[in-house]
Amino acid sequence: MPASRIYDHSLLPHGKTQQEVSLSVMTLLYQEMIQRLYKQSDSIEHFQSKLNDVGYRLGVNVLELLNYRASVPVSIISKAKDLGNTMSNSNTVITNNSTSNAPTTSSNASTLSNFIDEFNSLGKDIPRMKRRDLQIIDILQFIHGTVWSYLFGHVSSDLVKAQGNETEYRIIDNEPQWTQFISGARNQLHYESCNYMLCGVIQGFLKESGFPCDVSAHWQPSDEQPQRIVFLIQFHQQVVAREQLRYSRA
Amino acid sequence: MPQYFAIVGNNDCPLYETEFHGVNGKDTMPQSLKELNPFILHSSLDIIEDLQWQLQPNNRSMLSGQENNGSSLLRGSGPGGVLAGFEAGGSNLASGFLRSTSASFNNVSLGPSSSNVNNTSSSNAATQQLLKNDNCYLSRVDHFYGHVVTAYITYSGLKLVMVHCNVNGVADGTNSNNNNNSSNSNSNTFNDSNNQVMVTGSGLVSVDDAKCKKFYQEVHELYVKTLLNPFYKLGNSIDNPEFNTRVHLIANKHLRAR
Repeated sequence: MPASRIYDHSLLPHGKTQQEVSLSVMTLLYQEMIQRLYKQSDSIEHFQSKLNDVGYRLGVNVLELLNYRASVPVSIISKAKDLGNTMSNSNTVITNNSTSNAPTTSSNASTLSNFIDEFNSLGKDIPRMKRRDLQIIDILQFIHGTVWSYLFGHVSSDLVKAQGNETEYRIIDNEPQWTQFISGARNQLHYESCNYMLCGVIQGFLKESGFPCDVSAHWQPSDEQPQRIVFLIQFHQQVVAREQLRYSRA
Repeated sequence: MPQYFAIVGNNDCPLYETEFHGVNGKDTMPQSLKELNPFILHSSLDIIEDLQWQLQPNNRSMLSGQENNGSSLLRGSGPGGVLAGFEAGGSNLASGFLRSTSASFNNVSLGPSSSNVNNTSSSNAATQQLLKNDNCYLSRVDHFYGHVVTAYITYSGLKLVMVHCNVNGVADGTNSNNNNNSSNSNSNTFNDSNNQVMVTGSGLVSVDDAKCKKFYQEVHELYVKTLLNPFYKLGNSIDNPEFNTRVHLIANKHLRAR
C-alpha cells in the first residue's frame, strides 16, 4: 500500500510565484459542473443548494488554510520562497545530469529533502497563531480582503452593512470571475443561481467558524458593471445576540 | 505523565482520540483512568465553548494569580488601554457560572503545596507573554482531581483537548476504587473525598505551556492537511494511520522531552 503523501507537503504555496489557474480551464470546469448539477436537479432551489454544497467545502478549506498561512511569520515565508526557487532550478540540473553524474544528484536530493522537511512542519516555528475572528466585522473583512485575494487576486468590490438591519451584510463583486461569461440579462434567476457556489464558500467559511448564516446572490447591474453581483449575508439571530451580549460596552 | 488526547468536531462528535505513554512501559495509564478519560474531557467542553468567544481567553485567574490582580494588570497595560478596559468589561459581562469554576480552580492550584506556588509565580511572566493575544491555545481550562485539561481551538471551531493525567494521585485512587468495588454506588461520595485529600497532597500536574502549544500547533497543521485531502469528508473520524503516526511523533518530540 502506498504511504500517504498528503502530510509531506508544506502548507505554504510551493514554487516560485503565486500559483494561478488558467481562466479558460476554470470556466470550462465551472460550466461543466453547472450543466451536470442542473440536469440532476428538479427545481432551481435544488440546483442552488447543490451548487452551494460544492462551495461549502471549499469555504471550510479556505478558512483553515488561509488563517493558518496568516499565522506563519514573514521570515519563514520568504525562506520558503527562496527554497521554491532553488528547487525549481536544481530540478532542471538533476534532469540534465541524471545520466552522467549520479553522486551529485543524490547529494542534491538529500539536501533538498532536508529543506523540504524543514518547511513541511510549520507549527513549531510559529510563535503566535493568528487570532480567531470573534466579531462579525472582523471575519467579514477577512473574507472581503484575504479570501477574495486568494481566490480572485483582488479584494471584493465592497463590503456593506445593511441599514436598519443588524443581521444583514453585503459583499459586492462588480466583476464576478467564475460567472463572467454567463449573461444576466438573458435569464436573471439562472444567472444568480450560477453564483451560488461562491455563496457556499462564504457560508461554509462563516458557519464553520461559528457564524451561522444564510447567503444568497442577487444581480444588481449598473451601467458600468453589467455583471455586478451582490452577496447578501443574513446572520442568524443568535450571532447578533452573542455579539451584543459579549462585546458591546454596556 | 501519560496524556489522553482527542479532537472534537463541531457537533461535539469526536474525530480522533489517542493516548500518549512513555517508552518502555513507563508512564502507563491505569485501566480505571482510561475509562474515565473521555468523561473528564467531555465535561470540560462547556468551559472551552465559553472561552471560545472571549476576547482574552488566556487572561484568567488561574494564569495571572488573583482575579482582581489580573484585570488591573490588564487595564494598566499601556497602549491597549482602551481596548483592555473594553475587554475587561466584556469578560465581566461574559462571566457566568463557568468563571466561578476557574476561580475555584485558582484556589486549588495555588493551595496544595508551596513548591507549586513558587513554580507558577516564577513562570508566570513568561507564560503571560507567551499566551498574550493568543486565542487558539487556551492553556489549562479545567481540572479534575489533579488531572489537568488543556485545550486548543482551530479556526473552524474544532477543539483539540488533552487530559494530562496525574498518575501518582490516581494510582492510589484506583486502589481505593478497587477496594470499594464490591460495595454499591453509594460509596462514591466517600471515594471522592478520599481522592480530594490525596490531590491536595500531591498537587496538580504541571503543564509546560510552551511545549504544549507547539504540540497543538503541529497537530493543527496536520489537521489542515487532512482537510485539504479531497477524499476526507467533513466531520468524519480521521482514521488515516499516517496521521496517527505523526501525531505520536509530535507528542514524543514535545511532550516527552523532559
